[in-house]
Amino acid sequence: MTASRGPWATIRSFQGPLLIALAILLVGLLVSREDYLLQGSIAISFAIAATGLGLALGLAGEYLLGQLALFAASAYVTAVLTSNYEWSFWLAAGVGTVAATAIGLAMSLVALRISKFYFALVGFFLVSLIPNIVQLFEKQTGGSAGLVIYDSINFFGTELESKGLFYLAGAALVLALLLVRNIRNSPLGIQMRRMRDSTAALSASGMQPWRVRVAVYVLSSILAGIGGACFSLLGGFLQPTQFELTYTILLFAAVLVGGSTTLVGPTLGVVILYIVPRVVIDVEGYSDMVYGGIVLLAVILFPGGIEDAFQGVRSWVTRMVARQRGEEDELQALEAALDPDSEEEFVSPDRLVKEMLEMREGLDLGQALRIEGARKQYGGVLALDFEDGDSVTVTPGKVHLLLGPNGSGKTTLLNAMCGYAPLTYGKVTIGGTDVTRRSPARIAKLGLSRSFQTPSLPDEVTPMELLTAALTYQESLSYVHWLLSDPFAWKVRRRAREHAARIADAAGLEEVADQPCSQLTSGQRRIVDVLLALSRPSSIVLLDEPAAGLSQRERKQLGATIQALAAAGLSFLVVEHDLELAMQIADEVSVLAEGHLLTHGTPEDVTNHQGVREVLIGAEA
Amino acid sequence: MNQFLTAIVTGIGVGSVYALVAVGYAFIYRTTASFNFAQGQLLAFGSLFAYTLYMAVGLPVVLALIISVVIVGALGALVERVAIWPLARRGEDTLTWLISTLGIAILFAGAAQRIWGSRPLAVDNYIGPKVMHFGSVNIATPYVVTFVVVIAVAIAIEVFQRYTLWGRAMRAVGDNRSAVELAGINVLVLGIGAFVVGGALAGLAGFVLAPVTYAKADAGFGFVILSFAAVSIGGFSSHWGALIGGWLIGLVQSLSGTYISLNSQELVVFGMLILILMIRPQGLLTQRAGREV
Repeated sequence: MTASRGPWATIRSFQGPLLIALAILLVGLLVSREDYLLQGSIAISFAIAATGLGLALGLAGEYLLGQLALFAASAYVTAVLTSNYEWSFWLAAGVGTVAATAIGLAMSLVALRISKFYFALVGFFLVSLIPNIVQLFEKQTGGSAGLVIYDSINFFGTELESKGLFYLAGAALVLALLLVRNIRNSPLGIQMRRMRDSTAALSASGMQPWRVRVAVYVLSSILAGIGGACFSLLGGFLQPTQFELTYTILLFAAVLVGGSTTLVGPTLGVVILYIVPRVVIDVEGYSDMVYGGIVLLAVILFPGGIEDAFQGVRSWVTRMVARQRGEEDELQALEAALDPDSEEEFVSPDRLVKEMLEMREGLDLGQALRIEGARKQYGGVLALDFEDGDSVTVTPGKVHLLLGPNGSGKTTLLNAMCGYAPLTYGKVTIGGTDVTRRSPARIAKLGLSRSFQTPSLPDEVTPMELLTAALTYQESLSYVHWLLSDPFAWKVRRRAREHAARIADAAGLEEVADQPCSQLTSGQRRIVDVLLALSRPSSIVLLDEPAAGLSQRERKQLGATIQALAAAGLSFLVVEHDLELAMQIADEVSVLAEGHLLTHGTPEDVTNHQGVREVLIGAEA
Repeated sequence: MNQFLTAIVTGIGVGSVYALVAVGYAFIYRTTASFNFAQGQLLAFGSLFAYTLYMAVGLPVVLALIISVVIVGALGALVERVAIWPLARRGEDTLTWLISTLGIAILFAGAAQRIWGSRPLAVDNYIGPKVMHFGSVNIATPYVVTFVVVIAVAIAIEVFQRYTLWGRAMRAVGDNRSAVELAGINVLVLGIGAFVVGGALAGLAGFVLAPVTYAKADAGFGFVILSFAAVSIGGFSSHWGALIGGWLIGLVQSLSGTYISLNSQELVVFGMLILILMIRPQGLLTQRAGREV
């Protein structure tokens, strides 16, 4: 059932751009006043930029406050080329968009280095510099006096009048929405959301977070560039005051008001904030106050925007209806899950194991993961403090259990192995290769994957989408394919989706696979996180408390799955507090206490070790 | 030579204004880990109240100063209540605070324009001659006053944070919020307190400066951005860093204005800011914090 995303789902995903296209046609047919059409066209060019800002802000969590500068750059480059050098509009617009993209790319390099907080303010600074930059090129741009644009655009032989320009801008907006739709629905869009919520989770899947970020900036600047090029055609005049801070606020407020996580939200926001004050009610002189008030209220009252608030009401209604109907079923399901003796629900892990092994065909499973002489200092505290000869080795085909009370350094050890927190002293090797100082994504690529103590799954994304994204990633398809959603992308995604559906089914997630992650129980979230760690071609898997929050039945299935995969050659390092389960599946055990390696050996050795009992029973009781 | 000296003295004078606003930023940041975008607008209010109380109503300068600073400090508290507290209560991250204070800043700017209009309003000099002479170098008196005030303020903050319970709590709350809460200190009050002090400092800067800059409803954003550059260079958590950052920005601005062109001032500051942030993302004067995963 999970694989059946019927044609309706595909059509539904087009409904936003389709409605906007209809609205533009309708306005074009009904409105004939020149000034209204001009304002409409300006609003549309802002909406194109806002759509890009929405992608950066809502999907990827990047505070691209400087986007108006890119918009202005493209507008000026286009206008200067057409007016002063008599280029054709299309060519000039192309160069303008490239210029905006180049600046966006430069900004992404800055963003990679400095914190989001600084970057937001740097962006604001950049926008305030637009008049200075325009003045710098006074000869070409006319400086603060402005630049008169003589260009009129020739569209297949006819000169475009205000209505033609309106349709042209509208077509650009619809195109922009379609491109962003493609990205939002693609695995790249899912990775952007993962990056927004946790860079660590993204790099654990072998993705280089910087590549995703650069993609976000490039896309967002291309849209700012297209919007700016359209803008340059309108009004016949360019002046730095057209790009004042007010318009940054307009873009930003539009995205927040319309809903930053939605596709058409930013467009709706621009319509409300730009058109309504100018055409419907006259608030001349108050517009700054209105924008400011709206930004404030939007952030405080509707963190997700109008569309989100609307959907919130809708999902509340469906929940109430479902509660009326499904309360009893739910109770029964809950009881069954809590009952340790209910054996009938136990799903054999065979199918899941088969899927996981197929994915790893031809992979070298024989690499050992080893950490030795590990020391990690945080400020003045030694979180890990191994003796020089001490080491923990995760042997191929074995399940290695890591025990220790809270604060004994288990997660620090895992973080050091994955590259999140490189050791101050000591060495981590995978199959003999020194990876102590490598980045998380590069370590992941060597065949290491991990699950997290607190799974970080984007709220609005479904487990199916997450699994599909994880599986398509291995195909290393260029981002351009996702942008165009071309046949290659379709093929790759269909295959991955079928594969993801088989995995979800085999893991007993078929019921929730198409629900947003925010609706999952903590146990289901954890299963999804573990599945994501497994659904990559990795030979070594680190699991941080994989059984926490699981029912008895789910624990049994998890244990059986781990054992079967280990028997097939995978190696596991498991941190777990459920000793009964952990001791059953473990081949080797290491015990940490206060950062030291207390002992290691077989489960029997460790159980009989006096020191271990004291440490663990003190803390596990 | 004379040109160079004038540029240096003007740079330090103008830089003292950025420093005063930046010290307010650092003070707020230290306690609440947030950046109050409305700070520049509060400075503008300081100037506008100087105009209304000192020029229009004709109060004595000291009284006008005290009333202005108190009102602007109260506006700082309003910012905290309206734009920070509802979000902090929900546990939203500090980046959203940036946006909500931006919203209230625009709202304030719009309101100020309604009340005072958008034309610059002249304010007479409060004390001494309009311009002071140091050898052959001339500088407007309010800059000299600001220079003295900002040093006094930095010392006062140092003493406050070192030797008083509230000051120590304000410093500690930035490092470990729950520990301070457990010590029985009301953290919410500390947050408001920080915004009041930060607002009062901005009001003070605006008041002192009014004779040179005139009172303008929309003067805020320029100061926000340059003072932000000052704190970023100096590091957000140190008022001494903010002070030095402010002077540095003032000097760079003034020197590039003298030797390159007036138009290049902000561009050079921007370039310097990017360069410094790329080399030391945490600011010049702060220690690198532990890495967070």
